[in-house]
Amino acid sequence: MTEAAGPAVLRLGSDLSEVARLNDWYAGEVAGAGVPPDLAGDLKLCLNEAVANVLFYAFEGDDATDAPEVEVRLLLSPFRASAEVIDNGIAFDPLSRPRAAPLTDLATAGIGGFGITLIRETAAEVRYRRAEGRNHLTMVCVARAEAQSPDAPR
Amino acid sequence: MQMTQTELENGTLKVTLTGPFDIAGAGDVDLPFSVIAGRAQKVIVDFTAVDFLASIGVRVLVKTAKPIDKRGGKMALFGVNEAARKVLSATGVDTLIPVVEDEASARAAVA
Repeated sequence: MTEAAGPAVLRLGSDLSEVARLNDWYAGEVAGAGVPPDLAGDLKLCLNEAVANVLFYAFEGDDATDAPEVEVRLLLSPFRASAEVIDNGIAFDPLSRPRAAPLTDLATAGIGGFGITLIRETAAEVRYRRAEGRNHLTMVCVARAEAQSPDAPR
Repeated sequence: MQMTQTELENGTLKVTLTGPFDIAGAGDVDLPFSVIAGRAQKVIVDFTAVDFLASIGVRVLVKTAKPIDKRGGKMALFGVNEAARKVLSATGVDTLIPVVEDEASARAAVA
Protein backbone atom coordinates (compact mmCIF):
# COMPACT_ATOMS: atom_id res chain seq x y z
CA MET A 1 0.00 0.00 0.00
CA THR A 2 1.43 3.41 -0.90
CA GLU A 3 1.30 6.65 1.05
CA ALA A 4 -1.16 8.06 -1.46
CA ALA A 5 -3.56 5.24 -0.68
CA GLY A 6 -3.55 6.07 3.04
CA PRO A 7 -2.25 4.02 5.89
CA ALA A 8 -2.64 0.28 6.27
CA VAL A 9 -4.24 -0.32 9.66
CA LEU A 10 -4.16 -3.29 12.03
CA ARG A 11 -5.92 -3.47 15.37
CA LEU A 12 -4.30 -5.66 17.99
CA GLY A 13 -5.38 -7.24 21.23
CA SER A 14 -3.30 -6.78 24.35
CA ASP A 15 -1.92 -10.32 24.50
CA LEU A 16 1.79 -10.79 23.76
CA SER A 17 0.93 -13.42 21.17
CA GLU A 18 -0.42 -10.58 19.02
CA VAL A 19 3.15 -9.74 17.99
CA ALA A 20 3.20 -12.83 15.77
CA ARG A 21 0.02 -11.66 14.01
CA LEU A 22 1.53 -8.18 13.69
CA ASN A 23 4.67 -9.56 12.03
CA ASP A 24 2.70 -11.73 9.60
CA TRP A 25 0.59 -8.76 8.58
CA TYR A 26 3.63 -6.51 8.35
CA ALA A 27 5.45 -8.96 6.06
CA GLY A 28 2.54 -8.88 3.62
CA GLU A 29 2.27 -5.10 3.70
CA VAL A 30 5.98 -4.41 3.07
CA ALA A 31 6.08 -6.98 0.26
CA GLY A 32 3.07 -5.37 -1.38
CA ALA A 33 4.60 -1.89 -1.13
CA GLY A 34 7.98 -2.89 -2.57
CA VAL A 35 9.86 -1.90 0.57
CA PRO A 36 13.49 -3.08 0.30
CA PRO A 37 14.64 -5.66 2.90
CA ASP A 38 16.95 -3.33 4.86
CA LEU A 39 14.26 -0.68 5.23
CA ALA A 40 11.58 -3.26 6.03
CA GLY A 41 13.87 -4.78 8.66
CA ASP A 42 14.57 -1.43 10.30
CA LEU A 43 10.89 -0.57 10.65
CA LYS A 44 10.02 -4.10 11.76
CA LEU A 45 12.50 -3.74 14.61
CA CYS A 46 11.09 -0.35 15.66
CA LEU A 47 7.54 -1.65 15.42
CA ASN A 48 8.30 -4.77 17.47
CA GLU A 49 9.98 -2.71 20.17
CA ALA A 50 7.18 -0.15 20.35
CA VAL A 51 4.38 -2.72 20.39
CA ALA A 52 6.22 -4.88 22.93
CA ASN A 53 6.53 -1.86 25.25
CA VAL A 54 2.80 -1.19 24.92
CA LEU A 55 1.79 -4.80 25.53
CA PHE A 56 4.15 -5.20 28.48
CA TYR A 57 3.52 -1.92 30.29
CA ALA A 58 0.67 0.23 28.96
CA PHE A 59 -2.14 -1.77 30.50
CA GLU A 60 -0.62 -2.56 33.89
CA GLY A 61 -1.45 -0.80 37.15
CA ASP A 62 -4.48 0.77 38.76
CA ASP A 63 -4.61 3.67 36.28
CA ALA A 64 -4.74 1.43 33.22
CA THR A 65 -7.89 0.88 31.21
CA ASP A 66 -9.57 -2.53 31.32
CA ALA A 67 -10.52 -2.16 27.66
CA PRO A 68 -7.16 -2.09 25.88
CA GLU A 69 -7.02 -0.81 22.32
CA VAL A 70 -3.86 -0.97 20.22
CA GLU A 71 -3.67 0.09 16.60
CA VAL A 72 -0.79 0.13 14.12
CA ARG A 73 -0.80 2.33 11.03
CA LEU A 74 1.77 1.92 8.27
CA LEU A 75 2.72 4.31 5.51
CA LEU A 76 5.08 2.49 3.18
CA SER A 77 7.11 3.34 0.13
CA PRO A 78 10.35 1.91 -1.29
CA PHE A 79 12.29 4.85 0.18
CA ARG A 80 10.53 5.77 3.39
CA ALA A 81 8.46 3.73 5.79
CA SER A 82 6.65 4.88 8.88
CA ALA A 83 4.66 3.19 11.61
CA GLU A 84 2.37 4.84 14.10
CA VAL A 85 1.47 2.86 17.23
CA ILE A 86 -1.63 4.14 18.99
CA ASP A 87 -2.80 2.82 22.36
CA ASN A 88 -5.18 3.84 25.11
CA GLY A 89 -2.84 2.70 27.87
CA ILE A 90 -1.19 4.80 30.54
CA ALA A 91 0.60 7.89 29.21
CA PHE A 92 4.18 7.10 28.32
CA ASP A 93 6.59 9.15 26.23
CA PRO A 94 9.59 6.96 25.45
CA LEU A 95 11.48 10.03 24.27
CA SER A 96 11.32 11.42 27.81
CA ARG A 97 13.55 8.62 29.01
CA PRO A 98 17.22 9.55 29.31
CA ARG A 99 19.50 7.85 26.86
CA ALA A 100 21.05 4.69 28.26
CA ALA A 101 24.56 5.03 29.63
CA PRO A 102 27.21 3.08 27.73
CA LEU A 103 27.69 -0.46 28.96
CA THR A 104 31.04 -1.00 30.63
CA ASP A 105 31.01 -4.56 31.93
CA LEU A 106 28.68 -7.51 32.42
CA ALA A 107 28.78 -7.25 36.21
CA THR A 108 27.07 -3.84 36.20
CA ALA A 109 25.07 -4.13 32.96
CA GLY A 110 21.30 -3.93 33.30
CA ILE A 111 19.21 -6.41 31.38
CA GLY A 112 16.48 -4.00 30.22
CA GLY A 113 15.89 -0.71 28.48
CA PHE A 114 17.32 -1.86 25.16
CA GLY A 115 14.09 -1.41 23.21
CA ILE A 116 13.90 2.36 23.40
CA THR A 117 17.60 2.58 22.57
CA LEU A 118 16.98 0.49 19.45
CA ILE A 119 14.11 2.69 18.30
CA ARG A 120 16.23 5.82 18.78
CA GLU A 121 19.22 4.31 16.99
CA THR A 122 17.27 2.75 14.12
CA ALA A 123 14.58 5.29 13.19
CA ALA A 124 15.47 8.47 11.33
CA GLU A 125 12.67 10.25 13.14
CA VAL A 126 10.59 9.46 16.24
CA ARG A 127 7.61 11.52 17.42
CA TYR A 128 5.35 11.14 20.42
CA ARG A 129 2.10 12.83 21.35
CA ARG A 130 -0.72 12.16 23.77
CA ALA A 131 -4.14 13.01 22.39
CA GLU A 132 -7.62 12.14 23.62
CA GLY A 133 -6.33 9.63 26.13
CA ARG A 134 -4.12 7.83 23.65
CA ASN A 135 -0.38 7.52 23.10
CA HIS A 136 0.72 8.07 19.52
CA LEU A 137 4.27 6.97 18.74
CA THR A 138 5.40 7.53 15.17
CA MET A 139 8.64 6.06 13.88
CA VAL A 140 10.01 6.87 10.44
CA CYS A 141 12.73 4.85 8.76
CA VAL A 142 14.38 5.74 5.47
CA ALA A 143 16.18 3.59 2.92
CA ARG A 144 19.86 3.13 3.76
CA ALA A 145 21.19 5.03 0.75
CA GLU A 146 18.94 7.95 1.62
CA ALA A 147 19.89 7.66 5.28
CA GLN A 148 23.51 8.12 4.35
CA SER A 149 22.90 11.32 2.37
CA PRO A 150 23.86 14.55 4.13
CA ASP A 151 20.30 15.88 3.79
CA ALA A 152 18.67 12.95 5.56
CA PRO A 153 17.27 13.48 9.05
CA ARG A 154 19.49 12.10 11.79
CA MET B 1 12.38 -20.49 18.12
CA GLN B 2 14.25 -23.77 18.41
CA MET B 3 17.36 -24.45 20.46
CA THR B 4 19.78 -27.35 20.33
CA GLN B 5 22.67 -27.85 22.72
CA THR B 6 25.85 -29.72 21.89
CA GLU B 7 28.63 -30.48 24.35
CA LEU B 8 32.00 -29.95 22.67
CA GLU B 9 35.42 -30.93 23.97
CA ASN B 10 37.03 -28.79 26.70
CA GLY B 11 33.69 -28.27 28.37
CA THR B 12 32.40 -25.85 25.77
CA LEU B 13 28.65 -25.81 25.20
CA LYS B 14 27.44 -24.95 21.69
CA VAL B 15 23.93 -23.53 21.55
CA THR B 16 22.29 -23.38 18.12
CA LEU B 17 19.27 -21.13 17.69
CA THR B 18 16.81 -21.23 14.80
CA GLY B 19 14.08 -18.69 14.06
CA PRO B 20 13.20 -15.16 15.12
CA PHE B 21 14.54 -14.06 18.52
CA ASP B 22 11.47 -11.90 19.22
CA ILE B 23 8.91 -12.05 22.03
CA ALA B 24 7.75 -15.53 21.11
CA GLY B 25 11.29 -16.74 20.47
CA ALA B 26 12.55 -15.35 23.76
CA GLY B 27 9.68 -17.11 25.53
CA ASP B 28 10.75 -20.39 23.95
CA VAL B 29 14.40 -20.20 25.02
CA ASP B 30 14.32 -18.16 28.24
CA LEU B 31 14.12 -21.19 30.53
CA PRO B 32 16.80 -23.30 28.83
CA PHE B 33 19.09 -20.25 28.76
CA SER B 34 18.48 -19.81 32.51
CA VAL B 35 19.66 -23.39 33.06
CA ILE B 36 22.73 -22.73 30.92
CA ALA B 37 23.39 -19.52 32.86
CA GLY B 38 23.38 -21.52 36.08
CA ARG B 39 25.85 -24.22 35.11
CA ALA B 40 27.87 -23.58 31.93
CA GLN B 41 31.36 -22.09 31.91
CA LYS B 42 32.14 -21.76 28.20
CA VAL B 43 29.21 -21.08 25.86
CA ILE B 44 29.17 -20.36 22.15
CA VAL B 45 25.90 -19.41 20.48
CA ASP B 46 25.34 -20.09 16.78
CA PHE B 47 23.21 -17.28 15.33
CA THR B 48 23.44 -18.45 11.71
CA ALA B 49 19.73 -19.36 11.56
CA VAL B 50 18.46 -16.42 13.62
CA ASP B 51 16.65 -14.17 11.15
CA PHE B 52 15.49 -11.44 13.55
CA LEU B 53 16.78 -10.12 16.87
CA ALA B 54 14.68 -7.82 19.06
CA SER B 55 15.58 -6.26 22.41
CA ILE B 56 13.92 -9.04 24.33
CA GLY B 57 16.42 -11.42 22.74
CA VAL B 58 19.26 -9.12 23.75
CA ARG B 59 17.86 -9.20 27.26
CA VAL B 60 17.99 -13.00 27.34
CA LEU B 61 21.59 -13.00 26.10
CA VAL B 62 22.75 -10.48 28.72
CA LYS B 63 20.82 -12.26 31.46
CA THR B 64 22.61 -15.48 30.48
CA ALA B 65 26.07 -13.96 30.13
CA LYS B 66 26.06 -12.16 33.49
CA PRO B 67 26.22 -15.19 35.83
CA ILE B 68 28.61 -16.98 33.47
CA ASP B 69 30.90 -13.95 33.62
CA LYS B 70 30.56 -13.81 37.39
CA ARG B 71 31.87 -17.38 37.63
CA GLY B 72 34.82 -16.47 35.43
CA GLY B 73 33.34 -18.14 32.34
CA LYS B 74 32.77 -16.74 28.86
CA MET B 75 30.06 -16.59 26.22
CA ALA B 76 30.47 -15.65 22.54
CA LEU B 77 28.18 -15.37 19.52
CA PHE B 78 28.96 -16.32 15.93
CA GLY B 79 27.22 -16.37 12.55
CA VAL B 80 25.33 -13.17 13.36
CA ASN B 81 23.65 -11.52 10.36
CA GLU B 82 24.05 -7.82 9.59
CA ALA B 83 20.72 -6.73 11.08
CA ALA B 84 21.33 -8.57 14.34
CA ARG B 85 24.87 -7.17 14.48
CA LYS B 86 23.36 -3.70 14.26
CA VAL B 87 21.09 -4.50 17.20
CA LEU B 88 24.00 -5.79 19.30
CA SER B 89 26.07 -2.75 18.35
CA ALA B 90 23.31 -0.17 18.95
CA THR B 91 22.69 -1.56 22.43
CA GLY B 92 26.42 -1.80 23.17
CA VAL B 93 26.08 -5.47 24.02
CA ASP B 94 28.75 -6.41 21.47
CA THR B 95 31.26 -4.73 23.78
CA LEU B 96 30.36 -7.18 26.55
CA ILE B 97 29.64 -10.40 24.64
CA PRO B 98 32.12 -11.10 21.82
CA VAL B 99 30.54 -11.34 18.36
CA VAL B 100 32.81 -13.25 16.00
CA GLU B 101 32.66 -14.64 12.47
CA ASP B 102 32.66 -18.40 12.83
CA GLU B 103 32.60 -21.32 15.23
CA ALA B 104 36.38 -21.67 15.39
CA SER B 105 36.71 -18.02 16.41
CA ALA B 106 33.96 -18.42 18.99
CA ARG B 107 35.64 -21.46 20.50
CA ALA B 108 38.88 -19.52 20.69
CA ALA B 109 37.08 -16.56 22.30
CA VAL B 110 35.77 -18.65 25.19
CA ALA B 111 38.82 -20.91 25.60
